[in-house]
Amino acid sequence: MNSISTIGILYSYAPHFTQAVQYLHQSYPNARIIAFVPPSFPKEAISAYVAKQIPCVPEPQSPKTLRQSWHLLQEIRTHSLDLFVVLFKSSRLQTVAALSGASESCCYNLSGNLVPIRLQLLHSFIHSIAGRIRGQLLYWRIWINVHCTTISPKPLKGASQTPKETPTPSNTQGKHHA
Amino acid sequence: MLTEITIQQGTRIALVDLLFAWPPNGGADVDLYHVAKELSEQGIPLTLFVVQFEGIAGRGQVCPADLPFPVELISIPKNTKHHHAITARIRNAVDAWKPNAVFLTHGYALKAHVALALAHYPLISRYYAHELLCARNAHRFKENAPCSFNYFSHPQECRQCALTHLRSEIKSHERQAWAQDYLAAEAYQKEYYITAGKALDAMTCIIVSNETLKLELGEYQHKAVVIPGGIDTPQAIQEQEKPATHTKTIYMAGRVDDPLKGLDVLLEANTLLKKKRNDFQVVATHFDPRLSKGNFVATGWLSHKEALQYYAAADICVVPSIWQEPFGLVAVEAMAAGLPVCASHIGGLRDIVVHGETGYLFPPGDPVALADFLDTLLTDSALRATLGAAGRKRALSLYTWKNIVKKHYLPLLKDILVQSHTNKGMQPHE
Repeated sequence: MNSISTIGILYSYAPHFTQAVQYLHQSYPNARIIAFVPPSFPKEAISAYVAKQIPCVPEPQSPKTLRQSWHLLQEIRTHSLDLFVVLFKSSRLQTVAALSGASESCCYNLSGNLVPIRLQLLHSFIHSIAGRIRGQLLYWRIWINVHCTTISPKPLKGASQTPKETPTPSNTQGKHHA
Repeated sequence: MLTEITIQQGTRIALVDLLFAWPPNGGADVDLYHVAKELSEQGIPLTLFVVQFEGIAGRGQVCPADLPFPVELISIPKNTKHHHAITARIRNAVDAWKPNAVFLTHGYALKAHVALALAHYPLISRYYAHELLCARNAHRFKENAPCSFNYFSHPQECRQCALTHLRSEIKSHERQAWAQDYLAAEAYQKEYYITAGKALDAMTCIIVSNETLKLELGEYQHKAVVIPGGIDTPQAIQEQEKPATHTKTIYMAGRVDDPLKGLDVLLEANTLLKKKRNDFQVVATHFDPRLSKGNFVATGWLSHKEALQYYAAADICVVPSIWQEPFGLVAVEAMAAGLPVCASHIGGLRDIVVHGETGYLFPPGDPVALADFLDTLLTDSALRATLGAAGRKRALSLYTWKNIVKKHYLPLLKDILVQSHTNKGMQPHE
């Protein structure tokens, strides 16, 4: 990865996005880093580390459409990247990586490692489908086990119970509002 | 002195961890690292056995040379998925080292099987959160409130809840550690309920993080010991001169993006407080800086070291958790930094913060009570200084790793080893 001069990083609603940008800036000090971010992303958060921020990623809360994905891919491919970085190794992001036109693609994972992504589309697709079929069969086997057998409980004698209700404010349903 | 006894008698302690990674993946890794390091520095011969699952990222990712104590990696091949085969490998590795006692640290459902496989040793088992009582995950938190069920009292409900929660992970082929353990241990099976109970029987000692967790162990309370987590001995704090009119900072640190941590409670308290005064700001270590708005500042992603530096500029620390927080590291770090702490009256936070002495405890999820305490503290700088100083003293005397190991782990190990030597049924493995 020594001859890398242009790096693209795709924003994900992930705790390690700014960490990843800093890591790339430190690891490739001479490379031009382009961040593909949502329009609402505050430029100042990563402006010290990237050469350019392109607001072409749909907002995390908004529904994803095929048209948006097409535009995003077109924008990414415009820059003829040497390295394209995503933050999760999901099938969707692997597909984006495969179609990014970059010479190399990597995933910067939550552990802080840059892991190469294999760009074998057909292999990934077949692997994904086979895994899903196996997963479905396994799930339903377990479902039958759990729902068709019963356990007679033997509670721990003398154990205290955690109070069921803890008062929470009306709007603490996992949404954050500044 | 235990150290002398153990060295003379060649006492060996095997630590076995099913999830350890270094650099750490979480608080349990940090806890284990410090305990093993301090015990090792006390001259106790130990080896940390780390189970490394081939092809699974994040579990057992350790470079032994990076750690200041001996580490042995137990490799589990990719095709070894059943608990019988996994526990056999662990048992063989541990037996070959011939320890006098085994300290079983972090693990999920597989831990019960491993405990039974190592039951021929005096066995200490450490639980870091609610993994013993919750089948779904280590949080025991459901529908925005702590769950009142536990696996031993409501096994049927708990295993159905676990299956529902893990459905998408089981169906996909990208599974996290909890789902991996759930499948390998066959924790969905009826028989696992018996295994879990037998594992508790096999343990000589069960370490938990707070008094509430101990009470929930019921008939096993006599085996339970409360040992909190700890902090590194902090550097002397350089008092920063803050002008009387400066904008005061209320700081919330940690994984504040996790709904369990109660950021919403703080934000609601902030809204209430803003109606009364405007001489403060709220700073939180949220990874997404887009949340910053008005007097609320989301710092963006910070390393642990960077997050610690924010304490120096802060005036008050808030820990508004709405789950049964097992320990509450952030509260201790803030106290060590000389800050008064406003924390939820829940879980381990109740043991850490002394109400009215080192800060205030408010009902979990109550923004009105939190806003009142914050108002009091923002108004009275002398009170902040008094509570902060008392907090620092408490944190340094009770929660540094050196003191934790000296006060809790060394006496515990001594008791276990003496017991094993006097009890023929618990003779050290020869």
